[in-house]
Amino acid sequence: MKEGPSLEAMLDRLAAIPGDFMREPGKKKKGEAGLQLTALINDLLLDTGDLPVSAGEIKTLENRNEEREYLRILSILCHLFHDPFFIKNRPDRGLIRKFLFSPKLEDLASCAGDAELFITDPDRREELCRLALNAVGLYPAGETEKRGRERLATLDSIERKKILDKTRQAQERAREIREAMLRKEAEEAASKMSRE
Amino acid sequence: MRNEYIPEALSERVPLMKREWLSLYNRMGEHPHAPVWNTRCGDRLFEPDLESVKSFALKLEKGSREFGISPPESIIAWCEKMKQRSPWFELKLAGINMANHWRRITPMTRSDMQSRLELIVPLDADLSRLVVNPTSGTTGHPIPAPNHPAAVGCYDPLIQYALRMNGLKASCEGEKVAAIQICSQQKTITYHTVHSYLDGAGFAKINLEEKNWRTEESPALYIEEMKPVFLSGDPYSFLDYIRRGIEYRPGAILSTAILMEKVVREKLQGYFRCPVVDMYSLNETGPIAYSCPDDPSKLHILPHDIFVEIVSEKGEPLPEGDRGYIAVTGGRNPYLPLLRYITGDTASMSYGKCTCGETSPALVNLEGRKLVLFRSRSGKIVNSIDISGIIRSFPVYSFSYIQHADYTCRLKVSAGGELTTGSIKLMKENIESLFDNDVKLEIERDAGLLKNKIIPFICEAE
Repeated sequence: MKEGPSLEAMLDRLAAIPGDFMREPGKKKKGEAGLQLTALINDLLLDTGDLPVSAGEIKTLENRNEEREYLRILSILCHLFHDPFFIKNRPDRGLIRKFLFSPKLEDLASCAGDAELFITDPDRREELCRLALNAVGLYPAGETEKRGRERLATLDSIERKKILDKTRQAQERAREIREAMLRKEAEEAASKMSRE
Repeated sequence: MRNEYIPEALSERVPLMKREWLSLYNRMGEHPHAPVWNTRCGDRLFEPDLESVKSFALKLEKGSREFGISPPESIIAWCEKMKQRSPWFELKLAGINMANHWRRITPMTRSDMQSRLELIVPLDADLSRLVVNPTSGTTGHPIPAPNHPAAVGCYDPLIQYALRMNGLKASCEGEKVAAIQICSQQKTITYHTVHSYLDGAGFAKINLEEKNWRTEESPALYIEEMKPVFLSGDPYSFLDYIRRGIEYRPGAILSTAILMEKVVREKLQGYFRCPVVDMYSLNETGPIAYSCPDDPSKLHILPHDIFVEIVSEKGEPLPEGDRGYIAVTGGRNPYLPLLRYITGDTASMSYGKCTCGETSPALVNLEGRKLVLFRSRSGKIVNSIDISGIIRSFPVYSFSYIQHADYTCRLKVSAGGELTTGSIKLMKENIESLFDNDVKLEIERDAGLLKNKIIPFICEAE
């Protein structure tokens, strides 16, 4: 991994995202000004040295027309990667594209619930910046690679949700078992000819 | 005709009850000298459960029960499957090649079973069939273990096998009383029932304590009339049976719950003149081993679906002949899959075919739950099972009970916040009443009991 821009610069860029990027993405009815996400992604890929959006990718985006929060995260990332640092230092070809179309962003959208959290919430803002850097093989300037990974792990929404879900499931299962045991202890057992 | 009608209360408990089994059932329950029955109980087996017990019995008879210091392939395959279903197995087996590094698997302990049960119970286990069998609490760690009627049903073929290997020739099936379980306690459940697996053979659990019977002679008359094929119980209850002069001699004696000392065995053999079989069985594991007919000081591993090893405190497998903790893997309880479960008892292991013909390894010099009797100042004997029965009725994880030479008693308990000051006071009153209130008891909390190996009962009074 290489050193990228400073985290502060990324955070500032994210906090100052123009309102246009937060408009409702996807195709809109006639007369409404919807965000043209395909065009945004296309510009980003070209400006960072990659190939234009393919027909298959356009289809993918169209199929996800209803996944509002996922599309908004894509829009936010387009702004983030459109930073002069990436245009000048061009990450390895394909990395930005791979990240934008990865299932990880869908998971992230479903964990966050509201994509705006990646602008307004300090932890989620930092998480998205670090995720973006990590996806293109960079870590924040002034940090070590190890520190970058550790900090990202502590901010990881998907992992946190998994842990919370598991904990919730375990607690729910523990409650079920406890209740079943108490109920059955009060009832009769099954007959056996020896004792223990 | 009354015999054509199966009461609903009975068919709920014995779902496969047949009309032709009713006459035996009623004879056991309504005999003029029958004890006071204080509960109802049945095998709770449905057709698929019975099929599974029969299939288990078949494998027990035909399958290989031979294994060495390493787990057999069948156990490794079972653990692999369990990894997908039980979070405990997933956690403890992560990254471990079981065939090569079995010793690296962290053993399961009683404390885990008490505090992490939700991790052990498989995620897909249907809790609607769960039953909880009471334990006599002779280990000091009363574990209310969840079980399934089909797994409890497997006790029958296991017991039959152990008795037959020890020379019992009579069949336990059909229209006869297969067994009477003898208890000698101030308080315990008593019931009579029939077992579907044994084609409606009867079983009764009775308590010799006088207040349960119509006359002093009733226990002897009842047992004589029922003619059970074998008697089950613990060494103390059999000694009480002898003390009361009950003359009926069954085809075999099956002793569990408390380890049988040699002197007790000799006394029972002399009196009953029939095979005396000791079975090592725990509530959380089911039957583990039975005494060898040629050398009762060793106990052969009984079920074909468990792997038993002797390990150090840290779970290192020990060589043949070295004393260590007994650890059990496998089993058939769908709610309690065992992974190197340390029972808390110690023994050494002997491998290879035995002179008795058994091929499974044997536990040698088992040190476990001992018979301990306490005394009131007036000389009244108090059975440790009665004390553990009271302790078990409170939310206690672990305990250790000692009677000093001056007759005073001290009970150390490990328990959570559910054990209130009021509960402790009530526990003290109940135990002191066993001693007719002439012995003083002090109860204190000791969290360290959970971690340590404990001796549950010690009596220093002469």
